[in-house]
Amino acid sequence: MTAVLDLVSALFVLVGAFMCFAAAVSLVRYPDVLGKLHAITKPQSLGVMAIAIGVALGVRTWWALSVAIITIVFQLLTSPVAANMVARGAYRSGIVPSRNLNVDHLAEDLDEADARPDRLTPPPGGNSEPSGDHTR
Amino acid sequence: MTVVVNAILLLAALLLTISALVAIQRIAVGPSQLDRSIGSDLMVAVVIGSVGLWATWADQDTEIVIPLLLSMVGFTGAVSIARLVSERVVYRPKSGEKIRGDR
Repeated sequence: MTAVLDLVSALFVLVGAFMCFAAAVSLVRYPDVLGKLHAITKPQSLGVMAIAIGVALGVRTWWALSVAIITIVFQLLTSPVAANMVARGAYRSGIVPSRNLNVDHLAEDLDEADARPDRLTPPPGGNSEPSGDHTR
Repeated sequence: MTVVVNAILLLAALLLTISALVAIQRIAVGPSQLDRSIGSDLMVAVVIGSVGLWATWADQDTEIVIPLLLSMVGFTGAVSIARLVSERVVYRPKSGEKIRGDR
């Protein structure tokens, strides 16, 4: 029984390491930041979760099980935050070439928001704003 | 620990080492600061995986506090770099407009 659980935990750790390797491959192969974010967030979260499950199955104590559960919960909570912030920063910095994007809904939405009369936004035609305004 | 389990863990360690080297190369090369922040995020995940691998191999659970804390706060590196390094001018391309990254 313990030998089977050791083997299963080793397989989970291997799956987790392979997910991190997939994220590393994406760093090499994708052309821009938004593409790299695909595999830095999704398979990497799954890899950390798989490694946590592998540790919980290999070291069969209650402490390991609770740490694994908390690790999984926090990884699921924090990974989308990092992805959203980095993607937002990349898009607003203008480092994403528009030829890599098939559809750009965000540009259409921002144009539509610009065209709407509103006291708080500058009139359309202005590209830059005072540096303190990041709240859009 | 049988030979099969040791071989599987050795393969996992090899994959994690290659991932770490690729992440460091991206931190060194990356044409923008956000590429470097993504590379550091991957480095944090590799460290989480490595400590988990060590805990499985050595059958000890005293070090697994490290993956726990890294998964809690490991994202703050990427978030703070993205927050502070993005350009201060609010610039966005209009529909159909070519932006700076185009060649």
